[in-house]
Amino acid sequence: MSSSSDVLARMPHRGPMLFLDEVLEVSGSKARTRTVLRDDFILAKDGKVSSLVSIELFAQAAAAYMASKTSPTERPTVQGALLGSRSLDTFVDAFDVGDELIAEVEQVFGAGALAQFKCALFRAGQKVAEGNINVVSGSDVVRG
Amino acid sequence: MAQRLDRDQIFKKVVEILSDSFELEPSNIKLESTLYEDLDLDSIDAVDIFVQLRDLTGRRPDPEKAKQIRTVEELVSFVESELEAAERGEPEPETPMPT
Repeated sequence: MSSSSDVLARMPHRGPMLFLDEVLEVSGSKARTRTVLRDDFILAKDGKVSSLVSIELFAQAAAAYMASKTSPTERPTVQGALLGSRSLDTFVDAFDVGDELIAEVEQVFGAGALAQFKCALFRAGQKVAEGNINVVSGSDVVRG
Repeated sequence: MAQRLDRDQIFKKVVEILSDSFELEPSNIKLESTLYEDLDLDSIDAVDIFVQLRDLTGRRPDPEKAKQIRTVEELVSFVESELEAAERGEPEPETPMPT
């Protein structure tokens, strides 16, 4: 696997919209990423972050997975979009600033530009969210 | 070893998946129904269908075969062939990256 920083650089997310701090592992059709919710996190309010952020953490972990499969010299970076989720369960209302969140995603199906990832989010070893996301990949799709 | 589902049983499972996932009236789901016209599903719905079929067959769906399917009957035949492949111990197809 490329280094975590190389993979993050191949994602389209930049600045405060890049929620991932590190790509911990990519293996087979799975990826694991780490996010620390700092006090300047863009969605933080009064020291809390809604657990609905889980869906974006899943999407960015999926993007990291796809970025890891591209050539290190490939440009443009991997592009795509989150289409939505038919299933998302959160087991807490909010996260606290300072929390470290580990996202685990697995691509369970892919056909053409579409794919589905099964996802789970952990805080201090406890599962705090799970679900699946549908994504679409490809620069043509993003450009419209 | 559990007995393999026959076509009628597979059809019932497919109807269950389609009606539960997309709020379709079970009586409107016929073997000859087309997924995209009669049942008004789209390609994102199809992704959800095939992921759920994975639970039924125990195998990753072959995306190339999946893309050819247009009717409920073809969906039933697809599940049947996947169950047969599982019985023969055929390796699962790779999960291709979205492109």
